[in-house]
Amino acid sequence: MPVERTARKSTTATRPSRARASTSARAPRTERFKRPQTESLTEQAYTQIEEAIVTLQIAPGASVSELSLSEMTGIGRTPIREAIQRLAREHLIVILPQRGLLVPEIDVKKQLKLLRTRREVERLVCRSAARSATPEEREVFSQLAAEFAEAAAANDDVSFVRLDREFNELCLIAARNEFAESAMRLMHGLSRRFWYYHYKRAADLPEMARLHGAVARAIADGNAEDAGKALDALLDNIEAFTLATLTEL
Amino acid sequence: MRASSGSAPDAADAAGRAGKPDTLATLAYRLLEEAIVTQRIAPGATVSEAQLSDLIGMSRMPTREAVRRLQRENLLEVRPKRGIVVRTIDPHTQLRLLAMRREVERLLARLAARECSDAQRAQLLELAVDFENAAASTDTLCFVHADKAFNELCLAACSNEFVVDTIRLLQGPSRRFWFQRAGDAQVLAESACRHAALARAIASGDADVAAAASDSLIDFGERLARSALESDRANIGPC
Repeated sequence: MPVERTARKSTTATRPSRARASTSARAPRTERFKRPQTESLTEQAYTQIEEAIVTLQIAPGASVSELSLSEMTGIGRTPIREAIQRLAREHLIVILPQRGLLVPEIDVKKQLKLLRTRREVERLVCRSAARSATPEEREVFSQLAAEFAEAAAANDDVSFVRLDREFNELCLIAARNEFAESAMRLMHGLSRRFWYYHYKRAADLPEMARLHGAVARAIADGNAEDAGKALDALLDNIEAFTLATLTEL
Repeated sequence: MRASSGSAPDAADAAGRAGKPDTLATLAYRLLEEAIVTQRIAPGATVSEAQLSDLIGMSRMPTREAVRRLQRENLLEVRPKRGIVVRTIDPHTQLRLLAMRREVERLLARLAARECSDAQRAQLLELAVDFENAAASTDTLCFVHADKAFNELCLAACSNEFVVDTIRLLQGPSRRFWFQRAGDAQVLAESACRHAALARAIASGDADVAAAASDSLIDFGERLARSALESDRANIGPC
């Protein structure tokens, strides 16, 4: 298997220096793999509002309106309306007929249901990525594996969040399954918001970074079976973390 | 039927116009989806919004909303400044779709087996008989109706809104996959038999048996897609 051999070789190559890895201004490496696209106003509105909800700048349970979101983003009503529809599909906004818009409360039971579905789809994504990633993508997976290990050692939450995001994007690109990608995108926002809400108290960040690193390593090595197993181990950890938030309440 | 009462299975339906079951956008969606699934609009064709709007006899705004939803469901692709392309469902795409369906439908079968009510079990057994009749008589319409009812019943029973969301993403292309082959009596009979077995397995309440029956149905789909791939290679032509 020539692909595998290339990948193995690349994992032993010297990785970029710590300095490069910690340059916050640098664009994510995954940018390289993206199709060039101009961002429409709707996408800009979506990105801004999603970020605000996921990072809890808009609190769970808060009421919002087209007007308030339009003022917050400085974007007109029509793109805002379209962005709201997308956010509603992602369960980040609830549209209450005749009564406005609500950012839903954090709901552990719902989160566990999400994880059940996500586990199946994400396992497929990781296995497919292990099979279909290009040598360049494997190189990046290999770097990510090393950087996850560093984040684990340093217990560095800022790096972890950045790496996690980059890793997720690269998995979706490398898996080359548009159906799995659409399904994962529907669940990303709610997953990330839950994480933001609880991780400081409930998560074992080094362990989680280590488990992410194991998935990245298996994909870099082109080992679909290990990638699937590593993903299940990661999801077991996230499920335990999610359950642990219940006792914390 | 909406399994996820608290969420918006398709916000385009829900947004801003509550209570009215069939909005213009929903109607436009149904008409366009059917036109694509039944290949009245050919796979691979490039069309304009105006053409689609004429085809279904509806105005531009609802057509535009319908196009967006069909884009999300992977039936249309909107290329800025170049028009709207009806996505071809070539065998490679079909295999990627089936890889997804295998995972999600297995989960759906497991959950439905565990969660369904006695009333739903009874309905599943009735549907199994419908499937068996469709297999025996190779009655396409009978199969299509049973299939639709069966899907909705499973989604209602699974009580997981994320499974519902994901299945709905896959529904359009899956339906089209089936429609392309509905004329083949043997395919119809085999598919109906495996559906009957799946319905009975879910009704039995045994999650493992239900999962295996779901896999067996997907195995059959993969065999079809693979044989289409072989014949494409033999013919050397666009599919």
